[in-house]
Amino acid sequence: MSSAQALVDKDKGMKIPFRSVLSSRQFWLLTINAVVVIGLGIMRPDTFLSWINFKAVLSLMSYDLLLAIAMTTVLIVRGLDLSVGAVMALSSVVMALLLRAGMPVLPSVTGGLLVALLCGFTNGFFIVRIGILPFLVTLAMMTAARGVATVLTTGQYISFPTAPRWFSRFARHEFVLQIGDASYGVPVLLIITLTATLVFGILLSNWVPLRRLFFIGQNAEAAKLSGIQVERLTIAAYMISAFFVWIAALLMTSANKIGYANYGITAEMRAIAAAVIGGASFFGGSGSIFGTFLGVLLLALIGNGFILLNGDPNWQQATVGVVLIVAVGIDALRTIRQRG
Amino acid sequence: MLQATGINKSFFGNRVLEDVNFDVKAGQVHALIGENGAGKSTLVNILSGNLQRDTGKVVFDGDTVSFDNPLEAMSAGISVVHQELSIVPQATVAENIFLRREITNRFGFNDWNAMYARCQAVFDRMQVDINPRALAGSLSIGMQQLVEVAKSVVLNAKLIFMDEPTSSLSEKEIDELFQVVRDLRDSGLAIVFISHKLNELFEISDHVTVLRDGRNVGTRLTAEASSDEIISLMVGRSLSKLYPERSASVGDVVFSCRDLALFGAVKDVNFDLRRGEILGMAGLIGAGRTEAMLALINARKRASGRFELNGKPIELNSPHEALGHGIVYLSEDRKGSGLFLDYDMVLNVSSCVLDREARFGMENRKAMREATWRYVTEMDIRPKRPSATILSLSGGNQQKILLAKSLNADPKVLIVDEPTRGVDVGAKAQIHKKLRELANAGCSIILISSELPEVLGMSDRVLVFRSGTVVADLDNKAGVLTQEDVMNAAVELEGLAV
Amino acid sequence: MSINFAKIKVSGSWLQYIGLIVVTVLIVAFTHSVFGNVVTLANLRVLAMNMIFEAIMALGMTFVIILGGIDLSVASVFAFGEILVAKLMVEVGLSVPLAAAITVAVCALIGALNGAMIVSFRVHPMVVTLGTLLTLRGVNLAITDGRSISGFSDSFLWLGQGRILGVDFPIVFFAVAAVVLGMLLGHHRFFRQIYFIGGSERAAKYSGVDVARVKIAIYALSGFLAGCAGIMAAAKYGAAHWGHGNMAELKAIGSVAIGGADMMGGSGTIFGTVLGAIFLAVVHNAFVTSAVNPFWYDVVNGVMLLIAVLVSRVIAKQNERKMKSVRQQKIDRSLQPQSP
Repeated sequence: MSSAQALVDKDKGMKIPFRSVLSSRQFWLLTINAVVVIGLGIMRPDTFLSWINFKAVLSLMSYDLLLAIAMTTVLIVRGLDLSVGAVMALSSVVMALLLRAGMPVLPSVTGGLLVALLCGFTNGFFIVRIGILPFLVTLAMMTAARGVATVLTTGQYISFPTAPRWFSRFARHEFVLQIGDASYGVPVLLIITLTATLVFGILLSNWVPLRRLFFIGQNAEAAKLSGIQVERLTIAAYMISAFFVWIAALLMTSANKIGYANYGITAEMRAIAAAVIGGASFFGGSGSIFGTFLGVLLLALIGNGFILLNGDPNWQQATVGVVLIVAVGIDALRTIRQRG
Repeated sequence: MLQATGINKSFFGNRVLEDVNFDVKAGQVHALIGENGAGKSTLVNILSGNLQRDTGKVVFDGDTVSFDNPLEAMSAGISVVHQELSIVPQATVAENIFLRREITNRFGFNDWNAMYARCQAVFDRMQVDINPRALAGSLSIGMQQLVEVAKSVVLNAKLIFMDEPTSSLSEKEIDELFQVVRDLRDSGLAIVFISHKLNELFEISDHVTVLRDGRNVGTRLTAEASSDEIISLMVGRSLSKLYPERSASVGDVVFSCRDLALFGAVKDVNFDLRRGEILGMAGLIGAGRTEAMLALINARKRASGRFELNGKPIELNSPHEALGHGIVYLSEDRKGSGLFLDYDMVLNVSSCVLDREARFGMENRKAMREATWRYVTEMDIRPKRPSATILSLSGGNQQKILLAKSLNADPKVLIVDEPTRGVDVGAKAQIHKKLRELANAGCSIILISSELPEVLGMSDRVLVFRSGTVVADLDNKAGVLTQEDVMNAAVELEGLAV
Repeated sequence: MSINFAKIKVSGSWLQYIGLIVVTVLIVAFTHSVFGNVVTLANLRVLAMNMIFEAIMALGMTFVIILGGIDLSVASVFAFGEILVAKLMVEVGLSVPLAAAITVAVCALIGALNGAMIVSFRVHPMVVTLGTLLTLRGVNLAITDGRSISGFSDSFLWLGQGRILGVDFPIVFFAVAAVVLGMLLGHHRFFRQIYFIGGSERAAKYSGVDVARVKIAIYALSGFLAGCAGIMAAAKYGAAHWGHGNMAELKAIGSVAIGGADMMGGSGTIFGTVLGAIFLAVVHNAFVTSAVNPFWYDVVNGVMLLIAVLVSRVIAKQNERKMKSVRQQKIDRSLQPQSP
């Protein structure tokens, strides 16, 4: 259940719930990732083991990673957010429209954030206060948000030529890292994503308010009787989710230099798959940022492998589903064996 | 009719049944009694095909039998009325009764009219007034219980196991159920009646078998047995010594509650609680004790209520606020709303106070672990391994963890709801001892329990609930209150069904 | 068609049906009086054909949802059905009946596989069917290389474009399927069991219901219907394409939810689902005829879904309130003699 910390935290005495199962899951995910890397490295040493390729893989997975973190957060409280992709598109469209209208960067970006947070709050409010299933609420939000984005743009790309140039460049800007003779360009996009992942991963496994999310997901009634403010924190979880969606929207808008209503179509499905592969459960109370990261990475590496091995790149889509099914299948076998 | 000899069963190396012999005769009601964990449910599950025995022999109706699943047992004529009702509320009564036994045409389509008619005939025979076309969910729990019984009758069962059928029924419903049971008995069926309640078993059964620790410690003719004898068979020792000594150190009023009401459940509840006092709450199930306490901390949205702590009025708008005032409620349903089953002891014990000794809002795991370890040793929680998940613990140890969780929040007012339900005798005594120690240390305790001896043995004062309100406030400092005193208050009126 | 469809009545569900019918009729009346040309045979045909494949999938989804499950994979099974039947005829050269028979069998098998995995993995049905959705979508893309397949015989095209007594074949198929499945769900002993499984799986098991078998059969039914829809869609469009039916699962689920089924299982009727599907078709049509920016359609879809769920929620709350007031009266009565 805990995350990157499980590895960082050398304190073996601190037993984390499901530690044996989940840290072994992280171990296996790590191993499988390593096997894929080594395998591809042997088969395609030149193309795969190049910084350019790694950079491409990591940059491409950034958006998926941010959305998968958003998904993990709500899965932990036994929720679900089908609207991540659609809200990302809406937030991006709003930012682009405000920029195009000549608004300075900060208010425009804030506008996008507010829209995302409003969507997150609405999701949380209907789920917690009205008591409608997360699946239905966020499904409605998904259609509605995507619909509004399309209405606002009439389906067109929204560029913002008059916006400050730094905004349309920062996501792709690269800091050059000089190691010996080689120089490695690290895109800002990647730095932001990985920093956000690391910080949130540490907070989620240590910071008390976020730790409480696990208790809510495991048993909401018991959490309530234990003095945990279930309603407030559950809504907060949906807003945290929206916050990460907004980061993804911001980076995507900057990197592509346009806002577009069709960003992130079916992204919610990949996000769920990655989170579940990483150890989150639809029954709440488990999941970790580190596991989710490994899940996203595995999907990205396999996708990359398909392209590099001259396999039909079209098959890469299918692997997401297969990996998901195999992951839950192995899990099932393991629990059945454990319980006898 | 049924003869089981030498039944053995182990789970993961734990012997739960040891050489059990059990005979049931046709046309009789046979009571099966024993403490939780004595093996009653396992025995029933084996005899009804839910579980397979390790060794032993079962003869039913003259044939040696071995059922692989409940269906086989059912078709042989053995059915079970489970403790948790297996009624589906969205389906009609008739459909519930005929599930898997539908009367259909040759294409498999239900013949509704035939089913309703047949169902009505069964109800007529049982002399109960239930409409076969009604939705099962619209019936009271008692009626649903009768529907369960009707299900067995429709199956032409020769032997019916009834697993604690009265646990959530009102007195009146129990009477109705007993009437049906007697009628069935008189028509030649054998009925095995499992219960915790001695008085019921004396009322209804012909034979009684006592299980203790997986063994049959005695079968008696009910008419010849005394309750003392049964009790001593069950526990292996006399009951009266189970409760810790009272102390005389009850102080001033700490907490008072006025005009507490919860729509549809509780009204006009007033009481004062003194320092170091254990205040028992007695009453039948459904009398509103649990609901009143949930309303007190506003876990169920109450209609009204005013509270004072140490003479000062306080707001209790949520369990969170209550916790802030040192008022902690310990749930009656430890699995459903008490514990976090997949998590370990440390997280469960710390769950109320995750932010204690936190640095920059970060969990202090060392402090959490130390606190847990303290409770594990103090209350003798097994296994002595704080990293064990709750799911792997026995009921008694789970209950101790639940208590430890509440204690870890430093309660001034501790509300314990059925703190020893489903707990073995040893753990029960430990929990009682711990509660008394707490009270002696100045904590005020509200004890809700459906076991009258427990309420009487532990409490300094007893509030009796009936139909959602307090009907009696009885002093028990001397410990001389009797079960009759309390029951008289609890069941004064006719038809108090809630 | 309402003969005994709601043998299992959730209190208030008839109210909901009537409400749904009234709103649908009002929308039709409004758009017809304002824009005209709504209640014409030609328009009604367009209206029905726009939604018909989702509606057929919704029939299967009804069974799945009553069972307490969900099938996200129908849309990809649908597209797979299109592609498979096309390939069998165009590339393998099988006759129409043989190709169609093989296709529906394979689709039913995929559904059965979903069911088998749900039963044996003991995970949330959403995880498994999401895996199937992603896998099949990838497979669809890969085996067609993203191109459409066409060149069907006229006898095949009849399945999508032909008419019986002036009614399009898919509509006839839908109507017949709805009646037959409605009868089965209402009165057949095998299908009645799914209400028990959805209501309380454990209770059903105690009563001797073979839960695993029923589940597998119901998911197979869902796959079967999606396959049938896919074949007719290929015939209607004259081509098979992997992108067809994208997001159709959401419309199917929407129809069931708007039709008043409880997403937690245990309630729902074919009649309700048919009303839900008609409602969605009418709303869509209203947007087309009113020439309002059709992009609003998605927004309204999302909002309508939420409203439908809200309505069932309100009804449930009212019932709860009613039950409580009965008890409150009892308490009041018992208190009276004490305070004269």
